[in-house]
Amino acid sequence: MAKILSKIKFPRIHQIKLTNFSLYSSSPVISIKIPDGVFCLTGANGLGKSTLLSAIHFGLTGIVPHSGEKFLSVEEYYSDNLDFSRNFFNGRITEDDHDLADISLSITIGNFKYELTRGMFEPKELRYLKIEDSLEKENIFDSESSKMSPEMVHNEYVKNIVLHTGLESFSQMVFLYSFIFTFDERRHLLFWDQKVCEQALHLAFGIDPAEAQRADLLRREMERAGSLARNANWDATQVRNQINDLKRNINETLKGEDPRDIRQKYDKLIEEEENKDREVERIELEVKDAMLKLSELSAKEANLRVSYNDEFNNKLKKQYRLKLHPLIVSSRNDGKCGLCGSTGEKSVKEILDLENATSCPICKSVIAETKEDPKIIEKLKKTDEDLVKTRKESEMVLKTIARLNSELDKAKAEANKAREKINEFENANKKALSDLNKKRSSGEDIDAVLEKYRLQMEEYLEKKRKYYEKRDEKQKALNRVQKELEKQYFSAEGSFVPLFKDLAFEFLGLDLDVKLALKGSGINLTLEVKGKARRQYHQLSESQRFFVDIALRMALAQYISDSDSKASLFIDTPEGSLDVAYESRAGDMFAKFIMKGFDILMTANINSSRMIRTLAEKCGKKKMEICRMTSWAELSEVQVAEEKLFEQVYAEIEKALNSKGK
Amino acid sequence: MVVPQAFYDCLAICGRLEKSVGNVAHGEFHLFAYLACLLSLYRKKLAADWGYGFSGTREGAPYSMDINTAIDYLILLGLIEEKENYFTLTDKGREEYASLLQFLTHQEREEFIDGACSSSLVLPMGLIREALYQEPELRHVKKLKSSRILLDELQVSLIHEHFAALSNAIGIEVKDLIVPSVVWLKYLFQTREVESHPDEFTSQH
Repeated sequence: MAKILSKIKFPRIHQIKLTNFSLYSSSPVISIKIPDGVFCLTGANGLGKSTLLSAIHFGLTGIVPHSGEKFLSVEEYYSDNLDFSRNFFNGRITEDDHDLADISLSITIGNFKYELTRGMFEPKELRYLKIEDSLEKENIFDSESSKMSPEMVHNEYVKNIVLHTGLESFSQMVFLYSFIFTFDERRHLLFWDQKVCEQALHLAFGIDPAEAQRADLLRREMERAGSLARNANWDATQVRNQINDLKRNINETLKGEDPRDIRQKYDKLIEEEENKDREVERIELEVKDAMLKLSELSAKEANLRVSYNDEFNNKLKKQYRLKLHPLIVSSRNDGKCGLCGSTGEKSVKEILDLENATSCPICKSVIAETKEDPKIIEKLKKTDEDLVKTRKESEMVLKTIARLNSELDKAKAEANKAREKINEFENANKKALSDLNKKRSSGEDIDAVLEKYRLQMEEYLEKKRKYYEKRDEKQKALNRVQKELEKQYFSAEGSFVPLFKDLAFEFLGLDLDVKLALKGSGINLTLEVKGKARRQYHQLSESQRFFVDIALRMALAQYISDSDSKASLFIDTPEGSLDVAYESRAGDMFAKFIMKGFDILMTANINSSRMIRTLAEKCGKKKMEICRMTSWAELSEVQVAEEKLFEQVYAEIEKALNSKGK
Repeated sequence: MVVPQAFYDCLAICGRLEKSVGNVAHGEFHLFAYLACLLSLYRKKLAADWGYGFSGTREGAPYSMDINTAIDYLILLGLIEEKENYFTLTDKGREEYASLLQFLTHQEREEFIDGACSSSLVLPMGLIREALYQEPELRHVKKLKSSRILLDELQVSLIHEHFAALSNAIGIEVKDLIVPSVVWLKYLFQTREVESHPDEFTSQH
């Protein structure tokens, strides 16, 4: 008899605040209230919609999902992704804002209210954290009164999140948000990634999250044991080859005193050095790029200065009036010609007439009075803005170069250290080899050397056997957990599968089915359309795959969530290349999920997609809010020129939102 | 060709000094433009970004060819007028100043021009002139008895040392440049009799 699964409580996000987030250059502080239902962030291409979802993800977990990171285990995914996440906002946030930029979130998990602030480059630190129990009216934690370091505050957050969600570890929360509740530009699909799917199933249908963690560990241990067994086998083969070589060329020089140890140690040192060198190369490339950028900006600034000077002088030229010339002024005041000294009424009259002259009395150039041309001012203003902007960009790049140079010095020192280690090792190895050769040339202990190799080979073979035993043992343990999961799944199938079928039908209009498949390598979910398994990629169109996978995530979210604290989905521009009928159906599917009391934070391009309009019609203003990003960052010239088109689309969405209930 | 920054600075200096001391002598345009430029260095800006350069005359006074040209143009355009070797803004000059203030390039200079000219509200003009002539570069030029280009790389590093000591002496990050401007001028004035080293500044503060 399967045990009853305890549900998991998930954070509900109520408020987001971004400070000094330079990507959104027009708005240094962005504060957003997240309503119930759909929060849809819209904006033209390139404004940073996806980055906002990444920032929220980072605020919540300290991690930004990384498409290049291969999933090995829940724990490793979290720890291996920290460096990527730490650097993710480089380039999106300027040097000036590097230490200032942060994200604040206000979330609730059941009756626990969290307020937290995380620096955009601090995945394992929190600048602020306050946790309250709103039921007991009790203050659980407040970083301001705790005097803890930001790392300790983060640890406090992790501890409480695990406690309040009911998960076994914070890594599980990272996993769930990275792979189940987020559908982003990675376009990662659960149905077609067995390892990820299996872990998701353990978390969703296992007896408790500790079992999921156990399965995760067992799988990794099993894989490691298999890998170590293969290594030991390889080592044994190497030693066997050594013995054969030694036998064949008994009089030749022995290569290496202890082939396995030397090879492993030496390879490790070489790998270390290569890693350090790669780091130096990476930073050098970054410096080179920054220098190139600086020279481009300097050239641009110099050109702009010349233009500014020309335009400024052009402006002054238009202001020139002959009557203001000091010579005319003094001639008029003194009543005599300032050039030749002639006096008298006639001379003075001639000079006064000159005041209205339209050409220069000396070179005859036209100097007709003209009013200041607003176009000249406009042009000057534009050049002026570009000039100041370019100079600021240069200052920023200079700061980046200074930072990179300091990083480069450190990286070079580390690379030198790694090289020294190799030299030391090579020297030490030479000595060992020389000792062995001495023994061999004096005819001493050849049999002993051979015996030593034989023993070593046996040792490796024994290791191989033990590792395979260990692998099989872990495999058996994993199979037991998987069997248990299978039982749990079967008991849950009756309530879970309809959730999925319902959503998927809404989208595809076909009767889909999902089944658990236990294979030698693990557990997976298979999809059946009209009774035929569609495990292979090519059997569904790309866009169909996206939405069927989203349906699976929604079903999992519904199944796994505690009714008091439901999971929210993060969906980044999902439309793909659906035709208009499927777009509309995708909107229906999302609406269905929302009507069950779940939330979606999504982004969408401003286009003629039916999906958003259908969703708006179904949800209405009570359950959907459109947030326009246009005021956050500068629009491109094309976007400014086509603003009317955006307005039309917004008007259509607005109309759809208002149509609910009419 | 007029250098826009020099043109703007002259208008801005004339408008401010007119309010504090009534009018502006020709040399005072150069003096306050130079002081403003030094204050921009105090804010860690580059001398090359000031827009125009200065040289030191044999007498140890700051002088800029571009300021000179700008003054000529201002007269020619009726933006400033001269009476007995002193200048004031005309109404048209005031309008032009307001109009030029809309450009960011000029707005950025306001802080420095203001910091320099505001010192004339609290210090007599003679003291300001005397003090600035004690500025390490100008004092050096005076000793050489020949004119020199000011603010080259070596000299700028010397000025930065001076300012670092000044910044330490003031102690806090100041929003308004009038504080370092007046403190520095007073210090320079005190050292006018002493022909020795700028290190004294550190020891005195």
